[in-house]
Amino acid sequence: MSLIQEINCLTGEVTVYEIPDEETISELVEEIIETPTE
Amino acid sequence: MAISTTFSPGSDDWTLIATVTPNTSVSSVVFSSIPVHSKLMLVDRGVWAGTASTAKWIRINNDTTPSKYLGSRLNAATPALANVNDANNIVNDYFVAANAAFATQFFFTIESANTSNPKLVKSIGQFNQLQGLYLGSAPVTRLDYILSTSLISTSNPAALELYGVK
Repeated sequence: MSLIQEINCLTGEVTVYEIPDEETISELVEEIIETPTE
Repeated sequence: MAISTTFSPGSDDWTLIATVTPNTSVSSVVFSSIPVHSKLMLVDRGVWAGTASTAKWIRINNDTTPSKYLGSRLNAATPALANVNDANNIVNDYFVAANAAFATQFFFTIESANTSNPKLVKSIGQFNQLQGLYLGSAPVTRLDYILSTSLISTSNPAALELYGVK
């Protein structure tokens, strides 16, 4: 996961959030594909 | 005879838009919702990266189209013509604002940032000098400051400052 810090230049509000890296996305996709649907 | 002022270059009035000191462990800092300005300048006063091999990149308007980023840069501790390196900028979707080092300082400027035309960019910093062209058509309202390989360290926090000219 990558940690991003964002500053909104209009409001001055600063937020910190995570975005998944490519490896994490691949793992999640694999997990979804392997999960049987009901 | 009156003295002509025709050739007076005038002066830009750089005003502070935003400033932020990056938190520990972030890998990029995003300046979003930037009010439209004719010129923008991002100043890095020495944000401390986690390793000495970390370069600092700037992406404009979150645009990941490599063909819109053209440029050439001097890339060396002692810049020389032999060290001109343009490959890094032609093939990537960002500009290299500072070369690998723990805490390089630089200032990165964008001209014509408020137009739908090509935008001239420059970066002056330790170990790196860049001149480039960004071919996106939208006015600049977002800048991403990205570390190439590692995270921001607590060792020596420093501010990022964004200035603009109306």
